[in-house]
Amino acid sequence: MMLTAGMFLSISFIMLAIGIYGIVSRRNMVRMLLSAEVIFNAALLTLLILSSIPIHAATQPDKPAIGGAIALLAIGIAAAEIGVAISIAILLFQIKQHVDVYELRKFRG
Amino acid sequence: MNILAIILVSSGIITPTLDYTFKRRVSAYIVLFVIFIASIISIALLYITYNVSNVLLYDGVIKVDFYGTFLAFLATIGTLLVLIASMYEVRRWSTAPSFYSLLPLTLLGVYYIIFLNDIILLFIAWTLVSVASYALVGIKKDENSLEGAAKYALMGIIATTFLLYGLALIYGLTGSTKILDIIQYAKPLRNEPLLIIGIILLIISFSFKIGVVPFHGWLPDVYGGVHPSIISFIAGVVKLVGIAALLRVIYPFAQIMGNAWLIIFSILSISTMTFGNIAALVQRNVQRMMAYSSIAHAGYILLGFAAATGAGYLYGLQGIALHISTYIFAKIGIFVTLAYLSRIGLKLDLEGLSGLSKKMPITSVSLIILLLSLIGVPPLLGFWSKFPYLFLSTIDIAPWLTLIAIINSGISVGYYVQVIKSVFFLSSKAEGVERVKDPELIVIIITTIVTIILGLGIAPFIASTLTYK
Repeated sequence: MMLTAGMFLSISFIMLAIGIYGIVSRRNMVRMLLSAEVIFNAALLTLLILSSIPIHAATQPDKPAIGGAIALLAIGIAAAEIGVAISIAILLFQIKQHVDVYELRKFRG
Repeated sequence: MNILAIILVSSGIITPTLDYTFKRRVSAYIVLFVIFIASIISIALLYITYNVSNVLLYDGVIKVDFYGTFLAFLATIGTLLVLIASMYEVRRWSTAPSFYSLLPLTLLGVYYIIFLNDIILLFIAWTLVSVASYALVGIKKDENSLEGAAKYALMGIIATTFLLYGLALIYGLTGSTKILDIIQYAKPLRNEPLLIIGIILLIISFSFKIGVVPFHGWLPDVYGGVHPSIISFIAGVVKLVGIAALLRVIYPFAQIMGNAWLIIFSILSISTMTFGNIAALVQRNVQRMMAYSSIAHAGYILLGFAAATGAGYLYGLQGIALHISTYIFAKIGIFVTLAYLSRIGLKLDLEGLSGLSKKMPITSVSLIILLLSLIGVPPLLGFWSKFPYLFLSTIDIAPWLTLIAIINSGISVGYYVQVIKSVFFLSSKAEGVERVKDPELIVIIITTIVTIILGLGIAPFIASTLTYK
């Protein structure tokens, strides 16, 4: 069975759709973070696939393997970002005993 | 040139390190000193890059031009003003050293985004600014700040994932990380759907940070709930990041996108302006009113982007830079005023501010001038940036857009005038004394004077020097 770039890209788009659905439908902060992580993994998949299987050979004369480097860098950086978000969520949980962003709308109007 | 950029950048890096090696009281003054040096260097950079074409640094990763140095200068001055204003109240918080170490770090990220020419650098600098600003929003550790920070961090992380997805698609299709090369390789891919999806994902991601309307959910809670001293920085300087990223990364695609560009940006601009202005009309709390007015001003700035495919693109670009300066000075001034008033113990709603002019004349007059500048009253800076540049830039390709913007500007008078009426014409309930030694008052006076002076005919001259290649 041939593995083509199109197949992986469609997997990645399905993951993107799942992530967006999760963000839109859930109101719990941790669940929303997890959905964002699904999108993040979809992005990594796209990055790695597109940097190893060329789609338009004409526009990519000799592609350096930066894709993998960007992916590694992104994983490290995103870990820092998630860390800050989780620490904010923990502080919030200590005060309010829940991390439901829908309930957080205190100042409406 | 190269050395200057290194100094500018390293000043940001070294400060937090210095910050923790000394005792607590020192940190504020060290950061103040470093930011002061950074602003001197940015003035020097402004002088050097004047009439010089683009300079590529670090193997083409950073592109320095006059437009960028102008924005960097604005960001530095904004940070300096916020720092001076924080000298009285914020310095007494228990988390003050973190506040002072996060300011230069964020500013460093802002510099990188302003001078950006590489998508890897975009991702890194973007995350640097984002992480620093989440921590900054939540730094007071009370309930309101943490609510704001939670939403801000959540929306920021979603924005970052969209950003990475967009970057992955664009890098994968063009095979380059340099923006100038990407544009060249992208020209034959004009009709490739993946490229369009990538660009749209990037626009969504930047819109989250600017607070453009379908993605504005976090903004009223952050700008309206967190302490105004911090918001003066978030609203004034961090917002520049989204606009600068849009300008550096998305703007070159205007010719490739063609008609779709005008449609996307006019929809975003109209929804943002209209929502911001109408939502602000019903607010009674002045801080939340300013949060919605900040959304509306993001909409005006997007007008300049919508003009990119027409003949008025240069007016659009000059308008963006000028309006950013209007916005930075006015918003920093207003939020610092609110911080000052809340420190004195006033409630920040229209009743709480009634009759303020009897007790605190200088603060009230400055507040009114800054509000008038945001409305766009002729002798002030806001008039120049709004009407001759931003609004006229789209008139040849989309006159209806200009019309809607002018109508929106009319609607916005409604809520600004409520504040003016409350401060000047209602009977006096507000208590408080202003003292000339208060650092907040100094900042308020500086922003007001700058707004007036730049309005007196200097703004068109500045705009004429700003060209974008």
